[in-house]
Order: sequence, then structure tokens, then C-alpha cells
Amino acid sequence: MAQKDRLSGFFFLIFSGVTIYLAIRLPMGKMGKPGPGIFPLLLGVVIAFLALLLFLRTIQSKVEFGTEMIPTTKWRLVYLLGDLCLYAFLLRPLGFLISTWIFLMILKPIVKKRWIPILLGSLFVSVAFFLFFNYLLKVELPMGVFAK
Amino acid sequence: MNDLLFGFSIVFQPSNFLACFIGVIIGQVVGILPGLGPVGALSLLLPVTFYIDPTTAIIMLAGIYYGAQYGGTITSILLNIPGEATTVVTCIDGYQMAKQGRAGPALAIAAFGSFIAGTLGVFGLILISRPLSNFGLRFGAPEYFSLVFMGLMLSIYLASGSTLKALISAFLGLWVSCIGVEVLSSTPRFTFGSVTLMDGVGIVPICMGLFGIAEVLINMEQAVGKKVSLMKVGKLMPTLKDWRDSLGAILRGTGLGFFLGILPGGGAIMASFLSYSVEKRVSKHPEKFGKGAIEGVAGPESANNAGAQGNFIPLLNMGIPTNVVMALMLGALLIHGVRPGPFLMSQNPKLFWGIVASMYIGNVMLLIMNIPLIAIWVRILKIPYYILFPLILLFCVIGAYSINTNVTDVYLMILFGGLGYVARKAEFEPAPFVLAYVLGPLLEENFLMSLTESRGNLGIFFRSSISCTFLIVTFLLMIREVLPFLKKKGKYLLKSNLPI
Repeated sequence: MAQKDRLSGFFFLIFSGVTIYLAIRLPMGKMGKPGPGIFPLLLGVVIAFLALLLFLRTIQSKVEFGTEMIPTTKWRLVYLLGDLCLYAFLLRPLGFLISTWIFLMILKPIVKKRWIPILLGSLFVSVAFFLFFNYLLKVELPMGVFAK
Repeated sequence: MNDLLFGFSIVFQPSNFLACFIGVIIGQVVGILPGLGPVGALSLLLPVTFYIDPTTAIIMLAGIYYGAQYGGTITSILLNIPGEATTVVTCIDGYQMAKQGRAGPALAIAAFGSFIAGTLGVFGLILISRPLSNFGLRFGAPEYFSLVFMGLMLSIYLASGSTLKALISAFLGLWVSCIGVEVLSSTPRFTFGSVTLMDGVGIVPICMGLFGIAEVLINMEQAVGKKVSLMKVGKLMPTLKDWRDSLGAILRGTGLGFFLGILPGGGAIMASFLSYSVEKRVSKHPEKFGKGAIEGVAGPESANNAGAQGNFIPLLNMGIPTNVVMALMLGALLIHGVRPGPFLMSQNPKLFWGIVASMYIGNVMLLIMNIPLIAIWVRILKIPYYILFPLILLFCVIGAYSINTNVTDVYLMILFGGLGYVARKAEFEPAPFVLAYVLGPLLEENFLMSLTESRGNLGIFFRSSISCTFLIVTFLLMIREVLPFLKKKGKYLLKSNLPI
């Protein structure tokens, strides 16, 4: 717990430093006409202060720089995020129907069912969602390869 | 009274009525389903509301909110799993009642109690609205700034978990709200040359990422597929004795919930916990609590529903959201170009009274639906997560994409999903972030306007008793948080001579 806080505090300290640096480069305006840089600058300062508090709070407890600083990577989550990114990437070029189908099928290792149900289920869901959103709710979904 | 009738005439228009109905059903389902709360559902459906009239949109979103309260109750009583944070307390005695074969009366009393609370809540809302709006008309930019700032700080203070981290969350949210082109000076801020970022990040990718995707990621930590055991429902109607026992609890819960709902912070959640304590304190048989005392269900359930009604008051009358859900409502309203505040009642009575009336109608719908249809809701619980989570993800992606038919919004959402997961693991709450993000522009605008008016003199924030009061309260809250820390740190530093 303390290790996480220490890391977080450190991270936000750096973050606020960057923020303050970027904010200072914005126009500050004059006395009667405050500029766009003031608010972000104040925010950056406050975040820096809070981050420092957070970091200092961890000094109280004994924290060894153990190996548990960074938690072990959960591959399932990385896989899921990767699938999502792929989906976003393919959405426009391949169109909604195909990219959704692919997206759902890639989930197979997580869902742990057999090929036929996955294939058919994914297809069914893709088509159903497409009809529901594109025609019923009139949300514009990309046609991709089916574009005329 | 006339206004209320006017409101009813709005609600009974087919599109609004349908929206209310759909909202309430979705809310119920969402409340029942694990891993998806009203915040998630609202985020998912926010894009859908783009295509409809603002009144209709808010009616539906509001329906989802209190529908979810009902849904959460069902899982609390039947499964000892709270569907929502507001129904955690219901688990205690509700589940015990279910084990005694009295799930039916528990569910029924919860439904009736919520209905009564909702009805009374609507009347309360009507009574308070006008005076509150009038009060709000006296506000200038400094007062608004102080109020919003105090509201934000109060919500953080009352939220669970580490206040310090919640503060960091909030100020991060404020910062993210600065991304984009600054309105008054047309200066791009933190956009790093990206055209998409010039519009700001957008509440939809943020919410869907932080609450939709991050939630799925967290649930993914364990392998998909849990079996849960379900209690049978049995006979439905409560006995006369049940009614007599519960009436006091219901009324007390309503009052408590309504009042707490108006204040910033947990609102409905705190109300339910407080109601439970009050009922136990007030009861002639406190030893029954924890073993199936019906007051332990009636009170909190009424409180959380009254709290939900109360939540709307600051939002509609002053334009101040007091928790995340209200912040989303504000976001939805702003997207439609509606600015809630003291002028809302006079400028847009259709919206205002339509919403108020819809809350009552929504409660009626929920009551009607809950009593006979409980068996159906229970079926929904059986949907396995491996079917659910892909659907949730799909909803998120479609939702994010449909804002601007832009894939960048999808990427932003995924980014916030990842960040939300990391934040949750590091024990940073996402709710203050979203609340602050929605309030950011309001805060900054009033801040700059105040400074412009006073030509840079910070004293303007203290010129009126109203503004002063808010700021002093905020200051006191912060001192309370920081003081014990400083005292400890001071002693430690002195003792160990650390070179800091």
C-alpha cells in the first residue's frame, strides 16, 4: 500500500512539474484580464503540493524497495486491451460488421468456449448490433468493405 | 401545483412516456447486473441521447438512475450481493429475511417504501425549488465559484477512501477539463498539436473508459465464470404487521434521504447507511437487526430513493451536480445546450417540470413492474459474465465512436480504460475525477470572470457573506484533513532530523 502511494506520489510530482512547465508557456494575461494559463498553473501547483504530501506520507512507514513495486503483468488484460485497439484500428477500413466479428472471435481464449458457438455467436451479435444501432437508433456505423 | 400538472402533461407525451419506461427498465436491469452500475449505464447511453430531445433524454437518464436503485435491491435480498452501493445495507437484513423464506415481503416493502419515498420526494422537490432558485438568482460569479468549489471539496471529503488521493483525482479532473481550446482567448491548451484534442477530451470517452472498460478489466482479473446460488422468492405480500413495523422506518428514511440527497457527496449511499443506524437506534427490538428485521430494509430503501430525488435539486435549481451521476446528467444537458440553474425553471419550464413529473411516473412504473415481475428480473441474474462483458465492450466502442464518427474517441476511451484500471489498483477513485471534469469549465469560467470584475483582486471572493461562508467551510474541511498529518509529520521530522 505504501509502496503504491510512494510510486503514485512520485509520478504525480513529475506530472505536475510538466504541467506547470506547459502552463507557464501559456499567456498569463494582465491584472484585469486574466489569461488562459492561470487556472492550469494553479492546478499544477496544487497537484504538486498534494503529490508531495502523498509521497511524504509514505516516509513514516518503513518501505523496502522490494520487488513488488510493479505488480506482475496480467496478460489477460493486456490481451483484452490489445483486442480493443485492434478493433478500433480495423473499424473504419473493414467496416463495423467484419471488425466486430473479428473482435468478438479474438475473445475466444478468455471466454473459453468452442469454435462453432464462438463463430456463430459473434456473427449473430455483430449483425444484431449493426441492425439495432444503424437502423433502429440511426447511429452511423462504418461500412468499410461494404461501402458502395 | 399548476406547474406539476403541466409537467404531467409533458410526461404523458408518447416519446417522453416511452423514454421514461425504457429508462426505468434499463435501470432495473443495470441494477441487477453485476459490474455495471448506473454510472456505467449512463455513460453508455449518453451518446444515444444526442439524437433525441433534451427533455426526453433526461427523463430516460433519470429513469435509469432510480431504476438502478430498485434493481440493486433485488440482488441484495436474493443473493447477498449488493447491486449498487446504495443497497449494501439492504443485504444485512434483506438476505436474512430471504433465508427465512420472506424474500417476497422484503422485496415488496422495499418497492413500496421506495415508491412512497419517491412520491414524497417529488413534493419536497416542488416545495424547495422555487425558494432555492430565487436564492440562486442572487449569485454572481464569485458566489458561484465558491459554491461549486465547496461542493466539489465536500463531495471529496465525504467520499470513501483516502481524501488526499480523492483530492488528487479531482484536481486531475480539473486539469483534464482544461485540455482543448480555451473559450475566451481561443488559445489551445495541452493539445500537443492534435486536432481532435482541440475539442477537449469529451465526457463520453472518459466515462466509458473509466467506468465501462476499467470495470471489465477489473472483473477480468479472475477467470470468467462464477456460480451464484439464488434464494427462492416465495410469497410476495407483506403482512399487516410488516406494514406497521415499516411505516415509521419508511417515513424516517424518506426525510433523511431527501435531506442528505441535497447535500454534495455520497447522498443516497450515506442516507441508506444512516437510515439503518437510525432504525436500529429507534427500534424497540434492536436485537432483531441483522436477523431479518423488516425495518432494516424499509428504512434504507426509502432513504436511497428519496436521496436520488434530492440529488436532482441542486442540479436543476443551481446547476451544481452533487455526485458523479448528477455530473453525467449535467454533461448530458450541456451537450444539448441546456444550462441548468436558477433560470431553468423560468426559461425552460417544459424541461424542468417534465423531469419532476417523470420522477413520479417513473416511481409508479417501477412499483407496477416490480411486484408481479420479480421472477423475470431474477432470470436476468443468470446471464453469465462471459456473454455480458463482450456486450458491454461493444456498447462502449459504439458509443465512443458515434460521438463524432471518429475512431480517435475510441482510442481515448481505451486509454482511459487502462488508466482507470491502474488508478483503481493504486486506490484512486474515479468518481471525483469525473465530477471535477464536469465542473472544471464552470469553475474556471467563474474564477476568471470574478478576477476580471475585480481587476485581479482576490478579495472579490470574500465580498459577500454567501461566498465567504462557502470558502470558510471549504477551508475548515481541508484543515481537518491536513492538520493531523502535519502534526505527525512535524514530530517525526523533529525526532529523526531528516534532511527535508
